[in-house]
Amino acid sequence: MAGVLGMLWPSSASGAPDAQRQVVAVEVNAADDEAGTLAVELGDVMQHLDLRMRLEHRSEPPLLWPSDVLAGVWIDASHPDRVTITVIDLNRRPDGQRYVRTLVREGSIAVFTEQVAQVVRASLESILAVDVERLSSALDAAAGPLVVALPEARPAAASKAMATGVGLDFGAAVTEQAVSPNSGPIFGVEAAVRISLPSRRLGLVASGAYDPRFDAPNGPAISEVSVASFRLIPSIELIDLDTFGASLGGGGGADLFSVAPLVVKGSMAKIDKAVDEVDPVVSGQLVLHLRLAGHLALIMAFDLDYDLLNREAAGPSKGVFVPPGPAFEPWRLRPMVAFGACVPFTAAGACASPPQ
Amino acid sequence: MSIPEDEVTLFQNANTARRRGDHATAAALYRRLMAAHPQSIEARESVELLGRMLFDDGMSSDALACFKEYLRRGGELAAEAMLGKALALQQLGQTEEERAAWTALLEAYPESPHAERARLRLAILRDPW
Repeated sequence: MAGVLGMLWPSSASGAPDAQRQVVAVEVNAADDEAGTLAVELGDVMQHLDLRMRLEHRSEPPLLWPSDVLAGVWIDASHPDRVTITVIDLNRRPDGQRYVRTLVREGSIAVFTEQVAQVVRASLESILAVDVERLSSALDAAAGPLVVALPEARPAAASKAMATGVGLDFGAAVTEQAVSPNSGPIFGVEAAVRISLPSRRLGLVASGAYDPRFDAPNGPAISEVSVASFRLIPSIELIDLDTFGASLGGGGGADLFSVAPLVVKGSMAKIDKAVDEVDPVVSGQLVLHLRLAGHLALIMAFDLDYDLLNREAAGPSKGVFVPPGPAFEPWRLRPMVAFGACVPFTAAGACASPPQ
Repeated sequence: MSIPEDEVTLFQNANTARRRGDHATAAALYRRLMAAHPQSIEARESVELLGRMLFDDGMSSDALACFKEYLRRGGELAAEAMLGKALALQQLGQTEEERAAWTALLEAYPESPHAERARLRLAILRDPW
């Protein structure tokens, strides 16, 4: 008898395998009352797992299972003392890995059907879970003791689940910063590392930047200035799509100004000895990642620094034509834009490309 | 009107409540069944079902107690209870006990669909990086 009891439950995408593998084929050999109860119990299981069920009532197990389903389940409840459940994993093994389980019948029909439902549910959960675990371990443990192949069908939710482990990225960029009213935008270079927690949501950016010497005229005086910056900025990932990410951070650091005035004496002019000044700053930072294939990402960062030091004078005031007051006075609020590239050192890095 | 208290009816009512998402009622009925008919097969299986329901609801500690109790008494769903125990310990972050639970599951049911899951989880616990 091959009467179709046929129950199809709607399925949502979250946590389910891809569209080709959302169906479980269930074949049941049982008395009508037991088959009906089983249909209800198994329908509840499939709904819980976001799967659809194709259920048939038949007396013999099928010789062939459809190749496009997640799993086949054969329940033989024709024997009065026992029930045999065969689960065939067709997700990872097209030839069908078979798992056979025999339960001793005891108690009411409700007990037997609940037991069958629990066995089927746990089996399907483990079949699905192995896919996710395999992805995680394969990507995390590049040098681990377990070598596994990526599965043929991958749960949709796994692309985010794979990003486990601590992330480490390295980035380099060119920068342009507004430093003072006495100079134009200053070009510089920056290097940074970002360490992120396994979720990739939280991270810590440590960076160093250097603006090579530039002229800062101030009335009749002129100074040569260079700036070295150091920052430590905790950040949180606001957007984490497969190819695009954005993080926002706030932290602080220090700017080291090296100011060397041009001193004129008579007809002679020379660069005087540089004086260093350290300004503590607080910083806000927005970083955008555009992840490319080959584990390379383009980054664009926008920084806004606030100088905590209200300096009346920065740099020396000696020199015949150096006017009183500061020879170089940086803005207290200093914006900066950076454009560069980033490479991940670990698979969970923020610059890592998604698995293909 | 009196409420039927036989084990089969209590078991069926608890299962129905669980399926319709009324987990508070289901838990109360499972517990009443265990108290009123502790030696029945329905009560025995209720321990595992309650554990699974509590685990689904994020109550891993209570679920763990149920799985341990089921395994102590024994039953047809021992493999599922061992799986539930390992998963509950994983959720609770009890790594050493979790490792022991997966190992026990792997040894007891090496041919089950849970065996590969256990092997993978043990590999991750051995080398989390």
